[in-house]
Amino acid sequence: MPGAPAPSKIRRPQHEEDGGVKITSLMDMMVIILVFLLKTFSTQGDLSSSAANLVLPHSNVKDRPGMVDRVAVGQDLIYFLESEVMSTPDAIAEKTRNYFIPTLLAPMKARIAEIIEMDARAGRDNPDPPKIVILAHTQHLYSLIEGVVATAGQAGYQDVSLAALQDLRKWE
Amino acid sequence: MAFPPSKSRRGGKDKDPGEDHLIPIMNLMVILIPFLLKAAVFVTTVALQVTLPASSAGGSGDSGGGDNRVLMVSVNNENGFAIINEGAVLEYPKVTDSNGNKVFDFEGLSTKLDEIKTLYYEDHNEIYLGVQPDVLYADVINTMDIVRGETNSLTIESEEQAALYDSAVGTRVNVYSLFPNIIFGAAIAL
Repeated sequence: MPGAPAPSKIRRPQHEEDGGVKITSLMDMMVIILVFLLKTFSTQGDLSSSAANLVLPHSNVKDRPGMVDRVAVGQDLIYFLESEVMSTPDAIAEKTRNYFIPTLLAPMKARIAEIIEMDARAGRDNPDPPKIVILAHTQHLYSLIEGVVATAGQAGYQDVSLAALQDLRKWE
Repeated sequence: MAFPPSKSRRGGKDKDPGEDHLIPIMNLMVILIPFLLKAAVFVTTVALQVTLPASSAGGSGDSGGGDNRVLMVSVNNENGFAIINEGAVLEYPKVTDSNGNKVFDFEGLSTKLDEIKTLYYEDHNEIYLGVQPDVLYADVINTMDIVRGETNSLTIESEEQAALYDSAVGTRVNVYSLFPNIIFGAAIAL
């Protein structure tokens, strides 16, 4: 019939007619993602997540902090063992008046007493010395960090570390 | 009686029966991936160990082997670095970077400490770090990186190595090329 549209000769792909989707390639992609995520899996989590407004400096060291007590010196607040202890400006003011930070010293001493009691209850003759890691904001002045380190030492922590983000290419 | 056509002759019209078995695995993956994404850590936090001075917390300060020589790096926000060794002072003032800012001369400090370690302090691991209160924490960490030197991982293979690095045989330790034991002390005004 003149004017009537001619039937299309182009054949549609077979799978579209079936309405199914090939999932083998999707599976391949999923396996790659799964392997990558398993490599980055951690049960310890990120140490720096506890304190808000905290940007750690970068370092090329490889030593991991492990499961130890931690104090986070954020831009606005200071946390000890995940609990807010005081504001950072107050800590700076206390550090100016004393060599230590008395408000931070009290909970640290209580924690050390708790560790000693736990070791005694467990019957440990030569327990590991109490350890602490200090997470401090990269733009703080050393004066404040020195105060926190000195306070930890005064409380009884014998193994003090400073936390940083690993950057092995830092000096390249 | 006519028989229906065999399944194998129907070509690609049906799905591959093997793909049906992948669907439960896909379901498992879809559950696993959000869980792993939540638990993934893309940045690694590391710890830089410091030794407290003897007066505040009983820090070691032991040079080992009866050698009481003390090497110190002083960090001053205005004057830059100073290496103090047996009364001699080597100064490394701040340098101007490409943006015109005054920055610490980390490269100069690294080169000199490497030389000092090789010539005079081969068996020493300790160094005092005296930092002025107004120095930025980031610069303190950078200085500690330089003072420790390059890091290499080493597997302890013998009892002698185990005694040297205070670790068990078979464990991996990080070995630093310069002075890994950093003792915080007071800065000296030059």
